Amino acid sequence: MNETIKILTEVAYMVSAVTFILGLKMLSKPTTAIKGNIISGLGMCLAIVVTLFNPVVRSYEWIIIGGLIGTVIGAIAAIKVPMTSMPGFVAFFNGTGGLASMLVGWSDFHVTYTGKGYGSYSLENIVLLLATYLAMLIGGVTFSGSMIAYAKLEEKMKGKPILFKGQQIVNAVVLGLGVLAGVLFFVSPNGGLIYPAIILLMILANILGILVTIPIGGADMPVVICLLNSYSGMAACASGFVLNNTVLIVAGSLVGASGIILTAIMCKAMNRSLGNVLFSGFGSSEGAVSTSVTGEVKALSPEDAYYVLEAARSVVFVPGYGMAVAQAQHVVKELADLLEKNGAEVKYAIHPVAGRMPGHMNVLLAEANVPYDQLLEMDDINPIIDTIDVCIVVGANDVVNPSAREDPKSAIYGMPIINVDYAKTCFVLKRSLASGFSGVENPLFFKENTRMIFGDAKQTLTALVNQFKEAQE
Amino acid sequence: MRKIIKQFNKIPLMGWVSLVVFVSILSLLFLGSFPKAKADSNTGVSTMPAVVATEASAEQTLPSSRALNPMTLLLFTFLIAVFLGVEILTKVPSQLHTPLMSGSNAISGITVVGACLAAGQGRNSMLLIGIGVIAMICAMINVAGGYLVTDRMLRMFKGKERK
Repeated sequence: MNETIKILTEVAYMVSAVTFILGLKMLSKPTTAIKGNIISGLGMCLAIVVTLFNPVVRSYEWIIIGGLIGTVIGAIAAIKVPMTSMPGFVAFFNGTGGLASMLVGWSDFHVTYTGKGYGSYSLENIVLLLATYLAMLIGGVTFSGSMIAYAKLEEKMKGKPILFKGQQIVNAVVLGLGVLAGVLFFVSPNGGLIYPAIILLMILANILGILVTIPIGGADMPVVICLLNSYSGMAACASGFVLNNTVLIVAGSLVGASGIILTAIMCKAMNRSLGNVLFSGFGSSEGAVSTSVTGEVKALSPEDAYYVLEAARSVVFVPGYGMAVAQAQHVVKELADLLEKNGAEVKYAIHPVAGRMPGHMNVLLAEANVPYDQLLEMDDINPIIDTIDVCIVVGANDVVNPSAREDPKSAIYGMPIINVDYAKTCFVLKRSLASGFSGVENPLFFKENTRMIFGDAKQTLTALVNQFKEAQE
Repeated sequence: MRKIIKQFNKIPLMGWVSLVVFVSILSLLFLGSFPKAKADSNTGVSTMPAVVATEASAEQTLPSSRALNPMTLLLFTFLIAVFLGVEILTKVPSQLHTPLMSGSNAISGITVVGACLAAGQGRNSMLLIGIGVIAMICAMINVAGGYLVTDRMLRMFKGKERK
């Protein structure tokens, strides 16, 4: 009887592993994405239900209590969270997954350590030891790292990089102690000192997560979120090896792989290596504005901007994090509709790292009902940008900074940008001439064809919308 | 290195899926042929199949010279799944990066399976119950929140024909 259940369980796990694979595959096309997500969700339900029939599961009350509390918290958060806080909440959910993996590792360790103990060094046991160690280490790093990322993205703490003297040394010491605890665990897994060492390991893992996340600034968050996402998958995978559970291993490694790929894409979009993102504390020199760029800034009032836009045949919006901060996505869409009514062709050009997580701008514009076929990627807009009449930069800065292309001395030199300065006219909606996250002066503001429209992006756009509406009446 | 990866990219998706299924079936067969963990008279049932007890049903185990180690199969499954993940996800358009991330994030909540096993052991240890319940809460936040948020986001993505 038990044997039958066991085989059925394994088969069901395989089915859910396949649903995860199919779900991820379908998530990569806009038309099938919703279905893909539902399919992978069904697979998850199947995996949970089947697990309840596992003979190891003796009592249900704690599963139900914990499960209900978690589901309610997760569901409420998911339904209530505004789209602009999405990056923070993705980080938050990610962190809880990491914590769960760490605790699964701990629980298993406790049962084995206080029970029959770890066996001899056969391949199984070596993998078991390693996996227990990694589940706790990676899980802990994921949890605390994600929570710091969440706090930074939700502005519960300052987004600026936090750097202190000897940071690398402290990191190295913490990591070293963590490795030491691991070695101890490996050498004598049943020794008397091991329980305190394991507790210490979990604390160290959490400290490490905090230490590696605090020096990372706001605009580098996309990379970190992707990386933490990958970690949470690896932690799940490690706990899969602890429990000898195929579905955990397959699902965990899928997530690990997807996170790594996204990390690589993000790093490439910033022309920086992962090590540079993690350790350089880029942007900590914020405010150090050089005055080397000379030229005349030409400001424009919304009224004058209206006349330019009224005559424009093609308009491209280039959104950045500033659009999210100003909550300007709806009024952008409103203006776009009026421009289209006026006979102009409207597109949106989106830089891969615009915003605080990969695809952030796409989500915000989708919320404002912008059809996704109007959204262009950087590589699609750049070849045709010189035919565009007006480029409107809404709260973006570094991703349109021409010095990435022109000035080999610039900190962001080599980063691929959207060449808005090649358009016939370029409007920049901005509060002031302050430099962006990277602290690099933006020569775009001084270009011949650039017009600055100072003020809050949302108010400026609303003024433009009103101008159009008045003209139509 | 590039060339090797390109070779892997040539294998169609269904090929990968069937490979994973195949390997999983193999590992299932071998795991299934292993004796169950022995019962522990004090605390109920011992849980860890990894530390397989030695005394029970030796006749079920395949002759060691022919048996593939189940752990190698698990490791193999892991490798294939990593390659599969890379294969599926390299060509995702950037507009879907956020849903992809939150969707895969929800999948990493699969650790809920481990949390169920931890919370449902029915042992008389407050520590274990506490760990299990917290793990369960966290994993379910990850699962429920992840899937719902992804669904909510995806429903906002609309093509042109709508209006």
